[in-house]
Amino acid sequence: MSDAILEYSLTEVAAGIRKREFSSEEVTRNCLEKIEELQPKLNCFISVYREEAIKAAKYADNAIASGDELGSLHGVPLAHKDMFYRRGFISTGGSKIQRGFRPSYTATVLHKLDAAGAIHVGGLNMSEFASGPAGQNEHFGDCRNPWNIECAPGGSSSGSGAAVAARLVYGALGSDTGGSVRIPSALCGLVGMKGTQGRVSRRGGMPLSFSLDCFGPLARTALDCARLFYTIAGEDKKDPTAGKEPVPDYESMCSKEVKGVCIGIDPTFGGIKPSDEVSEMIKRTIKQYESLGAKIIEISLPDQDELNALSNVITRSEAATIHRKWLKEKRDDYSAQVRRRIEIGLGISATRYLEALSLRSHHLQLYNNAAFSFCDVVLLPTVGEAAPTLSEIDVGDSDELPQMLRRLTGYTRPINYYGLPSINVPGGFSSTGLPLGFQIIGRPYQEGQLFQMAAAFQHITDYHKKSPALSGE
Amino acid sequence: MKQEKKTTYDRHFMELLFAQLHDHSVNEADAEGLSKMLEPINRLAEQASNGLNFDDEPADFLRVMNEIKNTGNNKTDE
Repeated sequence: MSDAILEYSLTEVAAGIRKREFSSEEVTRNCLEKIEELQPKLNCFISVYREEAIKAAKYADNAIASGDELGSLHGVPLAHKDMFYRRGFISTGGSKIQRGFRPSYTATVLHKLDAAGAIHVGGLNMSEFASGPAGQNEHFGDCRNPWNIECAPGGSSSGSGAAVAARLVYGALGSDTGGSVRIPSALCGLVGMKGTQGRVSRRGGMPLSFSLDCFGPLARTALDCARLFYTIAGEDKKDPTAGKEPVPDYESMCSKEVKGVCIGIDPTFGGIKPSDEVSEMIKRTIKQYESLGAKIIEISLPDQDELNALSNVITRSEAATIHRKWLKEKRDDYSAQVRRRIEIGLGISATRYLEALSLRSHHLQLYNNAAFSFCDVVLLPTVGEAAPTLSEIDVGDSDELPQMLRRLTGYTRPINYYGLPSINVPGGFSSTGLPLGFQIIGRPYQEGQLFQMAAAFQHITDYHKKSPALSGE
Repeated sequence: MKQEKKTTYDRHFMELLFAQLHDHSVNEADAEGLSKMLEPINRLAEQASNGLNFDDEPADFLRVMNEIKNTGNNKTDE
């Protein structure tokens, strides 16, 4: 087999396996070889389940030969942020503290992927305890961006972004509390979906913030992402916070035209100025959507800084609650930056926290009035710049930390506060060849429309078809 | 003369808060760093709290989500 199969999209490789053009074992071994080759450069993986993956792939091939009923991901190799529990397998959460943690049960999202026939090839690198938008990890080493290994892949789902972009696997799960699926998707050139709050079960995923955590997929195309999201979304009897809304056929939305869809644009981007290159990318994107028949209107979004603060109050308070015991007993086992970010939650009063939660409805209503009263979806940058270098974002717990966090999460964090769905779409490249991304935000439970928008854009652009040179070396 | 608002989270308060409320100590540099990070968040959150009504509560969020999910003119998921 050649590297050509690694260039196939998830849906293409699933179809090829099903039609027996190649076997799941061949595809899986191909991925494992590529992982072995690129792991020293990219450090995407914390663990690789080589033997288990080959065994599962052989089983998948036997099922095809036997004429069994096949799931939509039958025989397709995937890997996931190392925070989704699989019974008996170590799930580190990117931390020193959980380095040997073997959960006693399996996450609902993994159960659903297993039921669809996916092959789980390993646990992916991530920011420690899913806390850090740059994706650094001092315990397992920094994951690197395949488009330029001196650059950060974005976080906290850093390995998920890097591994899918480098063609090591066909898709991956990440978690998004303030942008952690969308940021690495933007910086690595992928489609990444953060669904409506509660759209996807959180059971069996390492928590950071009960109120804001969302699990979602990263893939190369909107269609791939739609298939993964359809597989993991929906009710979970073991997670009372998972919504009971029926899950529509997202893949069918990917062939629907966007003529007449109204896109809201805030010329001030909510008060946070992006780089000139990102600004130009947004202008080009608007023109491309106009060429597809979408209508563009100007809207005025609420101040993003205030919303970032409210979102931070919730995330920090809840993270500090989860970590309080360890912060006291294992303080030195945290990296300085992650400890700082979690520990500030211990200083937030209960009334401040409950105010931030109580204000969510008020702000969601304001956002609805400002945006969805006039348009169907909102278009914003995902990150206001291309991937920064690893040395640029190596700020530790210094006074530069808040500014670095604002740079990377300024556009994404408020969306978690609103609980709205948002998808990152590759929108072009910087002058230095790094991916740029934009996000489309929709009404609650309107993920289908976001897949529609992303797919329509990918039908007339080829940014998602370009591979980082590294994977072809 | 207008009096400047004092800082809520200064270093000394952070040291005291951690010692009294959480029974563990933070060093001077950590206390300083924590206060610098928390102060602007708290100031903005205080500003936002002006919008809070007497009968607002966290569960209202789900009500508003349900109210707005199918509003507008492009209900594509139905």
